[in-house]
Amino acid sequence: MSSKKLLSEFTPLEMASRKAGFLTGFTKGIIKENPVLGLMLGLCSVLAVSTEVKNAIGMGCAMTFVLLGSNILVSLLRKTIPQKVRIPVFLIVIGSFTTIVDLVMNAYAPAIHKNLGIFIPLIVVNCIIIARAEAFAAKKQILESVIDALGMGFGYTLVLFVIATIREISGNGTFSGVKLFAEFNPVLVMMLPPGAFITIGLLMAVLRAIKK
Amino acid sequence: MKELILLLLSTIFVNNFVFARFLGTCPYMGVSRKIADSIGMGLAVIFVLLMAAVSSWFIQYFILNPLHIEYLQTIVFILVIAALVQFVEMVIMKTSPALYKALGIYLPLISTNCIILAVAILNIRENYNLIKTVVFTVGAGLGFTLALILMSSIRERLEIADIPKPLEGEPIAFIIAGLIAIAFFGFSGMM
Amino acid sequence: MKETIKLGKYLFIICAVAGVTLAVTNYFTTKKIVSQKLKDENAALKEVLPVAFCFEVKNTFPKNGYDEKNNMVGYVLKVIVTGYSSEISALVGIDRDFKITGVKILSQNETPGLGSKISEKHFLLQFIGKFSEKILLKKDAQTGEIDGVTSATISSRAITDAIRKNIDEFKKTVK
Repeated sequence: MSSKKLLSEFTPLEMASRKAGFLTGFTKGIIKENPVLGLMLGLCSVLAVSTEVKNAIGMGCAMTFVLLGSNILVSLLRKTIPQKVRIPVFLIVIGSFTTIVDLVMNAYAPAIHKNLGIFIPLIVVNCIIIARAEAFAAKKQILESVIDALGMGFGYTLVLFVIATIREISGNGTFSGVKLFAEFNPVLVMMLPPGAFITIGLLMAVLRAIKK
Repeated sequence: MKELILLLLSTIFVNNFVFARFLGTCPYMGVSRKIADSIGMGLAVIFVLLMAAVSSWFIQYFILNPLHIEYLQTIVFILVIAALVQFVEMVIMKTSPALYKALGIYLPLISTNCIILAVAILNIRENYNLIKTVVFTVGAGLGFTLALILMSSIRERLEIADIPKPLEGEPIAFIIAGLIAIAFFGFSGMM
Repeated sequence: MKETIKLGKYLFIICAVAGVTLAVTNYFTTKKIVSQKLKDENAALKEVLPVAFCFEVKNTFPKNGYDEKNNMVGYVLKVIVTGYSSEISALVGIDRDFKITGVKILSQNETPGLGSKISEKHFLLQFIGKFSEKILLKKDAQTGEIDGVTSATISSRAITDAIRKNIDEFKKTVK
């Protein structure tokens, strides 16, 4: 098992391939297995909080934190968790991290906390985490889990950021609350729920067209 | 009474859970391919929703609030929902094989559906009493079912339609959802 | 049986650890959350009644406002009304002559870009310095001095009428 070796025992070639492995582990969450556009997970929160870039970034950070925390903990505990109670343990771990995010955001970023509303506690069900915790962290080493969580979290945040940018600029003429144009007639529908659905649909189509 | 009917109608149409609140979008996109599946899924969701909402209401007001551990809401609710779905699955399997055949396959999908936790939490956040909780929950379930049926009936026809390659499948489904959402937006002034 | 106990023990430990962690987090954040909320509330009250230095401490409205010498200088009312697609709640500050000193929309979920503009300054600034008789939409009454938000008459009318009615009601209770 190469993973049992100390870092200093690796040959340069092995190091390079390990690095490349981590890099693809990170990038696959962004492009190939993007949680939102590729795996169709976590759609509810993406659609709902993408009206403003500020909210999108807040949500992305919250999600990444919970992903990272629960992936690390599940990976640490993976040998001791009895198979039969695996799911409840996952739920408790993820639920705890979600609650921590909820409380901390309420204390230090009350405005964003208010805007995100119910979608913060909903991080817990967010399919991403459950799916990832089960499929990944329970089997892999800590470092790999961390990279995976970061890739997934970043992929999620990126999509959220792009959709929020498109919607906020076209629907409100602002970017993160800053007015961009002096004279601008915003496309109101972009700020409304229909705009969210249509933007994500078109984005998905563009991504597919590029892939081919 | 009038208030309750208004609450029910506004939950189904004005604040439709899928088209206005975006809750339950994941299974919505996954299941909504056949009308029959949509109805089955919808019924299963209403059933589990009602049990989850009522039991979480009691837990909030008789356990969490008296003990001042409201901050454990998320974790307690999600555990209750997960346990409930398992329990319902077991009971249906033992008592009614026919019902299990109809609803059984949807049950595992439901435990990861955010609509269940969302309704449970919203009932508490809106300070609904038990009766309003039941009405709101049924409205949420019916609204979700309506959205599923609408979507699947359109998608059944789309199967044979000629769509540009990159738009096939989910992208076109999202755009259709957007158009339905515009239609639903017409309800918004009816409060 | 033995296995059940072992599993139970494991779950119990996990729950206990999670519970303690959350209790600690809650302990450290509660103070901050509460003080933040108080600060926000006070800032909102001050925004609608700028002459006041401090406010009556109670959970219900109307609240009296006092200046540095503890003289009563005005009141803050809370207005809640159904708009076009949501419930609008607002704070209204009035001085002792019942002249409006400020209006702030606390929460609304009206149509973004249309009805939601009732919470913007150029609409709300119109109320300042006016008595309740003039708080009517121009298109509704000749005496009205409030311009509604374009394409959002229902939202504008709802909040304007609610503010007028609330002040009139309040006058009766004071006199």
